[in-house]
Amino acid sequence: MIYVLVAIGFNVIYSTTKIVNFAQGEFLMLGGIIEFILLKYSIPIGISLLISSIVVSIVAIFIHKFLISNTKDANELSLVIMTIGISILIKGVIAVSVDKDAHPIKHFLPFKSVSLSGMTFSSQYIVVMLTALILVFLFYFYLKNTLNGKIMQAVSMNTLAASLFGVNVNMEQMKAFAISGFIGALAGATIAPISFVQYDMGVMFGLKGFAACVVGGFGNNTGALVGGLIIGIAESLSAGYISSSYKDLVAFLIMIIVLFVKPSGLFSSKDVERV
Amino acid sequence: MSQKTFLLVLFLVVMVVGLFIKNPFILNMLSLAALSVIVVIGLNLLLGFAGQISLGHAGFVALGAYISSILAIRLNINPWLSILIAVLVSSAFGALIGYPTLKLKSHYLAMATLAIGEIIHSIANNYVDLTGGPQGLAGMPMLSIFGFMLDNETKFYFFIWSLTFLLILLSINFVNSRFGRAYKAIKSKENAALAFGINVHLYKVFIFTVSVFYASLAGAIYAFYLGFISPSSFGLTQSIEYVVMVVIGGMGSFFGVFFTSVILTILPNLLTSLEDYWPIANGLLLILAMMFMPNGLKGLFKWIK
Repeated sequence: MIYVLVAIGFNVIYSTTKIVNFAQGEFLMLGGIIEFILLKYSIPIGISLLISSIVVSIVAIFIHKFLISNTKDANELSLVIMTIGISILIKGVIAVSVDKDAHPIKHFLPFKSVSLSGMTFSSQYIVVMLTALILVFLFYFYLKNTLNGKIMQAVSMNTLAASLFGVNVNMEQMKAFAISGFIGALAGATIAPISFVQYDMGVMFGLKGFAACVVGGFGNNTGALVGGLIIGIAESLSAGYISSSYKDLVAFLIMIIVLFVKPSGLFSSKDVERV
Repeated sequence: MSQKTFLLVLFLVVMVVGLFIKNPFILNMLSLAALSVIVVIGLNLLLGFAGQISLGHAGFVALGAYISSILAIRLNINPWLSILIAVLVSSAFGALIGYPTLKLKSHYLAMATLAIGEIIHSIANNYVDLTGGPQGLAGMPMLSIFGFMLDNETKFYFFIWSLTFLLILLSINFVNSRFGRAYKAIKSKENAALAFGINVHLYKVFIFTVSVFYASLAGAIYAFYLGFISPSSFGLTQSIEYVVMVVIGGMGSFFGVFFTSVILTILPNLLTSLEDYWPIANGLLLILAMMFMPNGLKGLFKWIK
């Protein structure tokens, strides 16, 4: 379910700016780390969640305003390299300024595990599920039912036409970065009690979120939902039935099979361009 | 000065330097620099001429290193033969990955190679029976050429640098050949190239395979040179470092890339105390390079002129 959030984070930025944000995983990591630091100063969970998401959104806005929109000669390749640079920069700064250890975070709910028809699992999974569902719902509501959301969709459909209608495209792109940072940080902070926070936790989440995007079709939010679920379920099934050390492989295997068979994903992405 | 005369001069300089340096530490460092030159030249072909980015080149280096040493140690196959097998297997693997992803936009290959790099890294770490796990793998036999053992740093230095220059020469020739011109056409206008009957997809898969070939060859030789490999030398950071070397050197420029990869291999070895800060430096370098000098050092020199 967490991959759904990462995948939507990718989509938000991709559909408005045509940038694949390689730093998406780092947004997750930042969210987790900031929450960890705030919790250390015994700030309540709700407030620390809010603060960490807002801080990460600000970081995302900063990235767009100062780095991406100032890039000279911006083509696809240079922007990809750019976001890779941003991603390792964030990781490096966290590794030096916080540390490189994995930190546990206590569960949000007062009880640690839940039993449901014979299966016992961590109570944090409920929190993750609920957060993801609420966020996905809110995001859909925003896109379909508010003026701002509709403007954003217009930008993603046709940037030039939208700007002719008087939409400030740059502003919309910045908003996309902010939303993506917010979703990413919240995802990172809620998954933290299960996965621990560590400076390099972002890579794997980013990769699997990308895999979820590919499976569902890049830029397609319904696809992101389904793709994220498929990747998540396949991963836990393989951890249970095959071996947990190979569960990372499954996501990529699915991704590569989808790329071979149907590169546009299950819910045809609107802009996979065949070369 | 034409590219090839410059290459010859550079070759002579490197050989003369090798005659005078007796310190094994420096020789060792320079030999490692040669290996990273090989990888980076291969990556440069991909990034500079096909405009595709690979974030898993360290993974392919690891693939070459592990396959060849496992063959040589566990199955007692002749080192040269095992290097050959390793390189061929890795290249085939590269082609398999490249085939579906290169049909699409460049970030698909980037993510796929990133994933492959992570997978190879985690297999090397977890599959202890075969790869030795985090402790690594040791005991590779020495390489020898027609009975001439490459058993000290000086001999290896000359061997590796000769090989490196041979590979650079090959890739310069390749770029200036009919195929190389096709890549230039693809890079400047893909649709036009397509209209001229260039099979863009196949060409991209081919150059990706070539660059995996270079990487795995460097990896295999690295394994036999050091006689010890461990997963920690082939992580994501290393892959990113290769990309930084190409980007700073100037995508598509052989000599810019040559110098940056030598310098960026030697510097971290000298400044080991600053190890933690390298990722930050790399990230900043990438961002600044993209913002201000998309053509790398080559572009900077042109701009000064």
